Amino acid sequence: MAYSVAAIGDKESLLSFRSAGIRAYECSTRGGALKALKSAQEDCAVIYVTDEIYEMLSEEISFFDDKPLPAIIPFPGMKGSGVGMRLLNKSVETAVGSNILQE
Amino acid sequence: MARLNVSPTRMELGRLKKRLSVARNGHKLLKDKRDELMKQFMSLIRKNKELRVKAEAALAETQKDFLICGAMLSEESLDAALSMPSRSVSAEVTYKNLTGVTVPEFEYTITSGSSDPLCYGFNDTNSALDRAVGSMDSVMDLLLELAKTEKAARLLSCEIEKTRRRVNALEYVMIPQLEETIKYINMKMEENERSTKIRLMKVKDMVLEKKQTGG
Repeated sequence: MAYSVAAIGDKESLLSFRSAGIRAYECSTRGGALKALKSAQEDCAVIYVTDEIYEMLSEEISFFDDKPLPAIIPFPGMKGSGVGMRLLNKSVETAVGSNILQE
Repeated sequence: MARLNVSPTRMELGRLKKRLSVARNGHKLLKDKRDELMKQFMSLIRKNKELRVKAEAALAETQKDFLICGAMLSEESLDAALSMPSRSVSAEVTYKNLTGVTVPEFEYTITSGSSDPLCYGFNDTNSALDRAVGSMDSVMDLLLELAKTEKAARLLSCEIEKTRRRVNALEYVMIPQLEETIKYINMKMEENERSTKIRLMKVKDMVLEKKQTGG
């Protein structure tokens, strides 16, 4: 089965994704983001989310952590907050026990 | 370490010994699994970090381009220009088995109506938008690659945590408990044997004494 690729975030951050032909869900509130996530998870293999939305929905997103699909990937939008790197460090910490990647 | 609440019988001893050998075997296997997962995770996470740094930098550059376009064009014309993209990205998912962890692999297909990535008329757009749309191409490759490695790394880290817990539970709880219980049963049975022997000796003494006084 062919899955789609989607992106969730605010309008400005999504401009670039729209131009590349990725399905874009524009939202700014928690409720809207939740709705977008729900409808995107049904047929999307990869969902890009802005850092802001990721933080807003971190609880709901962590539900998908140990599921093979969908892959929910944070990206810094217009207002990036470094969630991606923090997440990366967190998964190193869960796996190894301490963060060994930090310089 | 607390010992298990079992009755000290020979049957129980045999059962516990069997359980202990299974636990030791399982512990060894799980430990090997953990080490192998860790090896794979380390190489994945390094790649993931590299990709993320690269993708974030490239994306920030593109976002900046789009922001400048947004400032130069009216909102409506920018909206109209990007409302019908000529391409659409879809992903074919296959699953790979990484030491017992099912990891999705994405194969992306970009279907495009035309070979031209620009999907708008040139009347009310500008060259900055053309550039921004063009630069998104290379960013997309990075982002799609990032999705693949990041998901795999996260799945592996979850699995490693689970396996580590199991290894530790076996190593520090299950196996010592079984050993302790086996030792206890052994001691209890030896004690029983000794007390039977003493009882027999006492009875023999009593019988001898009775014979001497009686005879």
